[in-house]
Amino acid sequence: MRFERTCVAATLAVGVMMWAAVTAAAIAPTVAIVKSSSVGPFEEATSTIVDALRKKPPEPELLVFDLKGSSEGAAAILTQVRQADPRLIVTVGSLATSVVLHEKWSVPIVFSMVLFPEMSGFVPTAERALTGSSLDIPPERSLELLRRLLPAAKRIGVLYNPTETGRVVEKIRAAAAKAGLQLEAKVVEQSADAVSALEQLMANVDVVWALADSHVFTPQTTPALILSTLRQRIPLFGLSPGQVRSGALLALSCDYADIGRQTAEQVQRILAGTNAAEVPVTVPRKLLLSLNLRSADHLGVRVDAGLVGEAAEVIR
Amino acid sequence: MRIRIIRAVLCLAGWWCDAAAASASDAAYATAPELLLFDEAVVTAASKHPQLVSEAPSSVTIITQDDIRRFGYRTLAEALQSVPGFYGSYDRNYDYVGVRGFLRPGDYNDRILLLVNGHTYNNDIYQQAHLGNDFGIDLEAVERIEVIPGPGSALYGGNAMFAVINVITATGTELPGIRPLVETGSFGRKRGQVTAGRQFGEQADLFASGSVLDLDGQHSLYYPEYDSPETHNGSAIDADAQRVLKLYVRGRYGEWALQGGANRYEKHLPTGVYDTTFNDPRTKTVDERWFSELAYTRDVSPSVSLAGRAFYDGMRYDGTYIYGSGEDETKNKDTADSHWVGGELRAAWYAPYDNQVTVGTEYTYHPAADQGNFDIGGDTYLDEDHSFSTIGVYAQDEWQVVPTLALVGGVRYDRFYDRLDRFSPRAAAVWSPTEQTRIKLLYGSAFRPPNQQEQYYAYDAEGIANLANSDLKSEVIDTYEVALEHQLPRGARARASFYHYEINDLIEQTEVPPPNDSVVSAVQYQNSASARANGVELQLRVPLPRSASLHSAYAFQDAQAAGGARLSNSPKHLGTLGLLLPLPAEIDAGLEVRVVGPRRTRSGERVDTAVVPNLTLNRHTPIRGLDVSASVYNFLNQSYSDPVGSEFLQEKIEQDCITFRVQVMYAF
Repeated sequence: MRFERTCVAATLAVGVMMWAAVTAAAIAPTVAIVKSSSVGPFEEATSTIVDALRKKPPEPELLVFDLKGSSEGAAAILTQVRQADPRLIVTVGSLATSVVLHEKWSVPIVFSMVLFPEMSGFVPTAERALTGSSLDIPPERSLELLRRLLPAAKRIGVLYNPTETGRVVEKIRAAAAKAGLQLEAKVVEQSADAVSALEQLMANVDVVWALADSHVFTPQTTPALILSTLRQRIPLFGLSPGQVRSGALLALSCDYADIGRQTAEQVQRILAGTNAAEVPVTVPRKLLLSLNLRSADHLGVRVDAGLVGEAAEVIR
Repeated sequence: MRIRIIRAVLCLAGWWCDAAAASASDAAYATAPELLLFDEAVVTAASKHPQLVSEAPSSVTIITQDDIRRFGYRTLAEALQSVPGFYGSYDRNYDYVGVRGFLRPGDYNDRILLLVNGHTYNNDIYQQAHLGNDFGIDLEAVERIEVIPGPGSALYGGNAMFAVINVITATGTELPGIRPLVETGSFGRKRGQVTAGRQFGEQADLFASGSVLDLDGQHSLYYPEYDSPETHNGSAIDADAQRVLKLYVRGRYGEWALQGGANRYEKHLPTGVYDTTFNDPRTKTVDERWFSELAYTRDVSPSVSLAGRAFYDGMRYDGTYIYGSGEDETKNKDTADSHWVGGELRAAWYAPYDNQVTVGTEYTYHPAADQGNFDIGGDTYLDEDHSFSTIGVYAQDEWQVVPTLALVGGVRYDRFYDRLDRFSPRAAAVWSPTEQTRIKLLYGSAFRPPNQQEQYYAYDAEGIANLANSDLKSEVIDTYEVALEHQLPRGARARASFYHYEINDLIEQTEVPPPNDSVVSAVQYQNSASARANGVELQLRVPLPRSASLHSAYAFQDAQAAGGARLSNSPKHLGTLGLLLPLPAEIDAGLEVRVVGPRRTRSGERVDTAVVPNLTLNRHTPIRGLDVSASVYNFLNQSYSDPVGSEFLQEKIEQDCITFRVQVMYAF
């Protein structure tokens, strides 16, 4: 009798376990991650997304695809993505986002590590559920930093190409006006004009703000632009820590791992049932300040110790 | 397309730019604007073109100008000792660097290939890589040092047996303005240095650096081997001085680039080397080295770029050795003098199916490699003058087979002295099993042709003969390595390398039967030895907030001669710990501790573990443009020694105790 009871109990236990396993398998969603290339920041964000999704149930099945920096061969990768029948697609970088959005998908898409998503057309529509984590640093935060570092600066200069960053400039202009600052924006049609445009701009401004505009910053113009600002002793709010190392006074950059975490949180909300349209596109919440005190000295800018203490990287 | 995007990243990082790359990269920005924000570490010497360090077919280490300044490195040799598997040795004449447990007596760093912006800096008579104060470029003018351990002959030809070291200098764009520096320190150190840089529009820039160093050296050095009344009781007084002059210029105009430099290194020898009269400060060596190079790069199509360079180099060595004293005094001169011209043509083709093909050829002509040895007013023992040429042809393909796997294959053919031929193959697989991990399987064969001294330095004096050997073959090394690189959270990186190498036909000075009755003892360089080693190198780099960082390295290396005997001057254990830390009052601290395990001298005597802690403090003063730096080397005042070669009576030479250096810099 005892043996029979034991057999029944064991059978029931095995049954429950099998049911649990089958149910778990049935609800484990597949998430396809398509990344643009394997450059360090993309790697860092991707690995954080993967780690974060694996830590929190329901742990999805994760498939990572790498475009290796090229849209050639993307068709084959997208075929694999379709065959995997994912519940959601994550794209890392603009290239991957652009490639994926080029086709129609019935599943939500979450982009990550994308700069200027709106201008690239990465916006949700009636046909596609889209959200994501951008690299766009709100101009208000940059302006606040500028006011702390350069309280006397009232006129901010930017170089831009209207087709590429025109809408960004308008956002900055609005934010600057709100902060009581004046924005002087000069159009650069082609990169060859960038340095001369900067020289004209510097006659009328107290600080130059670098926008990520490929018509302005190219391999040839970047060193010359930085040098020109140093020569004219006009502070440059740079694009990256690398530019700060090269002479820009300061730059704000993103914590790419944290961008990855933001993306993972969005993915988890959508997998938990939230409509992707209700998940807002995020901006970086964790920013890293780089300061070049050598440039500060050269420019006659006094940097208070508190700001130096907040900096993630200080060039002395 | 992939390669183009990577090139865009490289250019944005400010490390490599050319006009054609811009047009290629413009296309990339349109679909990858965030690339404008990324700074990726790049190496150029691993494959003769820029590539991400993580993708290079080698375990690359980059030493930046920031590292140089914050750790207070004074010489290349000091900087290189922060790299896993590298260790130093100093005999009070030259600095030597051993790699992976290998540093032979009389080795003038000739198993390392030293480059300056890709230009070979080893000289042609001794194949010597100058790594101490005899290196011709001030470290203030260096933008970064690329260290590529392992064999490099498949791309570079001779001497690249253990490492290729590429010194990348600053440009007028990177270091604009005039920056003078004055320096003082222990043992009467006086140094003045200045850099000047300027950019002229977008097309051109110019950079120059020059310095003067006057170092009195230690007032008194005691060597127990000379402790007798006839040899000043073992004390060498005021015989350790050195004087150094350096000048370097680099410019660019469009697709043309020019660089050149000259330096003079004078070092007085307090050690009684070569049985010279002990405690005579007139015994000294003077080394001069100069070079100039004109290079041109052009993209002839979107997928093909061409590069060419032509160069003129020279070297002069003048050794003064005092023998005897009073009326019996003899002043012996040992000299070497050579100059050479050459050129290289290289093509890179971004071929279909993700292949990048590099082909090239290199030629040098040495019209008169002259060696001499004579007594002033007396006998001439050596007067050899040889002309020779070298030619090399190489090809390499880097194939991205699938996104997670790249294969690299290459081979170079070299012909030296119209008699020595050598094929040097290379193969590598770079596999990325996960997002953060790269596994590199590396194989390479490299060689060192016999140098002019080993072939032709022959003399016969007082019954002792050094015999020439013009039949010497090249030394050959085969290295197998597995490298594992892993990116940890928050930008930290860990690396482990496991390697095995075998060297055959090693050239060593060997005792041989006297050629005639007047000779009592004779030696000759012969391909008489071999060696092998197994080793592990571990490295961890952790960036910390506020420009702080931590790096540590450990190397285990078991290098043995044929028969299993441990090599001399070959520590089994090496360790480095470095910490960069901002302190209050805007002081920036760089602490580095180097540990070199026990070594053996040439006769097997044990040299104890050396623990050398160095500390550098940098401060940006309130005066605009004015910086000060203070360094204390060996601040625990540890006593340690380095093994030396058989030209010394000593088995080992004691190194400097605690020393300091103070620099004041001003940037206009």
